[in-house]
Amino acid sequence: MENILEIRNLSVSFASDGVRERAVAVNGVDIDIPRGKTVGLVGESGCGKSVTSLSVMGLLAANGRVEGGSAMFGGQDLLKLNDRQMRQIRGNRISMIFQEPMTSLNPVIPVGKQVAEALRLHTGADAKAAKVRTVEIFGKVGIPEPEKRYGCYPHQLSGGLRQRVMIGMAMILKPDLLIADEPTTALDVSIEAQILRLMRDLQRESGTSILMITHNLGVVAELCDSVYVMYAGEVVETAEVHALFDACAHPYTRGLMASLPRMTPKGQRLYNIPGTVPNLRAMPAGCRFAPRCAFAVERCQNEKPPLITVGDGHCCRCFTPLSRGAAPGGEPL
Amino acid sequence: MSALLRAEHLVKEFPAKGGVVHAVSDVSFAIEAGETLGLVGESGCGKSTLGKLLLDLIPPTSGKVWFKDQDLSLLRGEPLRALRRGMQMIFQDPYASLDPRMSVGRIIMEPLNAHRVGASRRERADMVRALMERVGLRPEFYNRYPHQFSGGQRQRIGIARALALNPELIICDEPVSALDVSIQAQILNLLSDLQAQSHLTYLFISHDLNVVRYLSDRVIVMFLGQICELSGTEALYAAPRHPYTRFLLDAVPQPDPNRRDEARAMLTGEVSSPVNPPAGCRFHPRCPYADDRCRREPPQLTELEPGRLCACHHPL
Ligand SMILES: Nc1ncnc2c1ncn2[C@@H]1O[C@H](COP(=O)(O)OP(=O)(O)OP(=O)(O)O)[C@@H](O)[C@H]1O
Ligand SMILES: Nc1ncnc2c1ncn2[C@@H]1O[C@H](COP(=O)(O)OP(=O)(O)OP(=O)(O)O)[C@@H](O)[C@H]1O
Ligand code: SF4
Ligand code: SF4
Ligand SMILES: [Mg+2]
Ligand SMILES: [Mg+2]
Repeated sequence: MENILEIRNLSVSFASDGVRERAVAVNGVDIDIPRGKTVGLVGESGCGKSVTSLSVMGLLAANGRVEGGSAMFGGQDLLKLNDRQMRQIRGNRISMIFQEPMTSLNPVIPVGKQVAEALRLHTGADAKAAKVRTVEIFGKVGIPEPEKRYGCYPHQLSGGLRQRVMIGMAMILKPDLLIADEPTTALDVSIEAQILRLMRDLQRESGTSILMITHNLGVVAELCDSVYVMYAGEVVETAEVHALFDACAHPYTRGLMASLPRMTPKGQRLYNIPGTVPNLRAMPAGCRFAPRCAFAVERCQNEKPPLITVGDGHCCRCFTPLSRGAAPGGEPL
Repeated sequence: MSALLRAEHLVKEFPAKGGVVHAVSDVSFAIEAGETLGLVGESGCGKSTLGKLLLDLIPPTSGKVWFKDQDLSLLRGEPLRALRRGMQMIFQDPYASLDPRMSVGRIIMEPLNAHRVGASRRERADMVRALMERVGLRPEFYNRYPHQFSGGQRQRIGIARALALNPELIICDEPVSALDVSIQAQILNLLSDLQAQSHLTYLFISHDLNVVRYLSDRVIVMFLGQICELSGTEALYAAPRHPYTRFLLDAVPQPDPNRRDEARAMLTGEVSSPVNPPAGCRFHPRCPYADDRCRREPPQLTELEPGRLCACHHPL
């Protein structure tokens, strides 16, 4: 299958005041996004999900630096483009939605005008036609009273409505790729369900590929075709979505799944991964998950496990991938 | 079982531009000693306001709270203070709710000082260390500051502070919403353990229906300041009777890709405003079963079967 985006061996570091050594936040990440598909990127807070997407978009903070790797998009390496070229791609072929849409909307321009402006730049439509089309799109993404909302400033809309404006914008631009970084995390479940459905509609209509960044495995199960699991700046497992939920192979993924209070009856303990994520500046020498892993052996302390293939399109960064049914703590389930 | 706390016709209105916010509108229920009562509903439906009313942190516009058969509105001074020791709160945001300038030891000791518990500062410091151990914090961290802790550890600090006065009731206001799943599981286990050890009673507020299901014996579903449904947990999740409960349960994305194509009762529309709540049933603008009666007449909370209350003219 053709990939719309291929990230290879991406590494990103940050400088911080008073420390000479740079902290490596993303280390040798490979991600493929097939055309027309939705790829999930999951992992605990701080594992490098946002840094990965921001570096691809050329939006890293000033103290951040891409140390190496490539991000091939339509025959060009996004990491090699200058600001002007990158802005062009961001406006046209790649759209982004963030957890807080305020960051991507201009606070002093009415939302309708912002979308209509983008539409004019994109299609060359005249002002009147752009307004009509914008109102139409607002209605389509479920914004009540779209004519009235056209003139509202971003702060006059709820979080769910602002997120719908961003999706409306994406529907107009019909980007090849939509990067969504926790787009529903701040929203109620009912609004979340509506936003997820709109993203699916967008994909069906425009063939847009989606990179869905989230820590919510429910959202992944609902929306994604394949999934990348990150831990401490590295991809530790990738699989087709059913394979991941039915038979994940990495002890970390297994731990995440088992921590979910989905069907656990009251009174029975939830599994929890012991310990916390390692500090960026004090990464374990061997497997980065070793200090928290119930399956760790001596080799894991000293040697870095490579990403190995464990099934069709299923890779895992572990010396001893788990077989189906193994419990996260080592005991059989 | 006897009620540890009872809410009677609680109403809370806030003044607002263009009217009043009907944050809590005529809410009555009881919390039984030793149970965990879950409270779910969308953002802005009045969950936190209700929690604060129960603890007497804000005064009700009308209505009463009874704790251990005493009417809080009739108590003043020392008797009120003594009674309030029995009820504590844990907040959602472990970042905002801890004073960044105070060491962890002082944060946890504060309620002990306020209620003059313990004979000396030394004795109180020992109690703080014991509390830290109980919630899984290393007592060596006594002199550290909140910013030196992770989100999960900060939530443990908040829990230790809530436990300091040996309360009977703890109102947990979204205590795990800001945490990663693996840390969330640690905190949920801790709350279960503490309940088993100390016969604690919880009101557990959350918008995460899976978390509420895991912890609660009974669940209240709230919509725009009112109770829609109150039921035993398993009965509620197996067969909701109120259309809003059904809708909430359908909306939760389940961590199982095989269920993604299940038909979802996708209601549209924004959350209605608590400033001008809809007449009749407040849920009617979003309800697929709404008829003229629903638009006119507010449904009363009635017992459909033992232990099962629902406020709907046409229960499912
Ligand atoms: N501007 C920055 N300066 C220094 N460190 C940074 C900066 N931005 C991110 N980091 C660090 O890089 C690591 C990865 O951060 P990132 O934001 O990608 O995490 P994430 O997986 O998106 O987490 P979350 O789920 O909390 O959004 C973290 O340790 C973070 O502290
Ligand atoms: N001090 C206040 N003054 C004015 N309005 C308030 C005040 N506190 C709460 N409200 C309003 O009362 C309503 C209920 O708020 P509350 O915080 O209880 O909701 P909640 O269910 O806890 O929501 P969330 O899930 O977002 O925490 C909201 O409309 C809110 O804006
Ligand atoms: S390599 Fe070793 S420590 Fe790392 S996940 Fe596998 S078993 Fe655990
Ligand atoms: S009373 Fe009517 S509008 Fe309200 S929930 Fe029941 S059926 Fe729906
Ligand atoms: Mg992030
Ligand atoms: Mg609240």
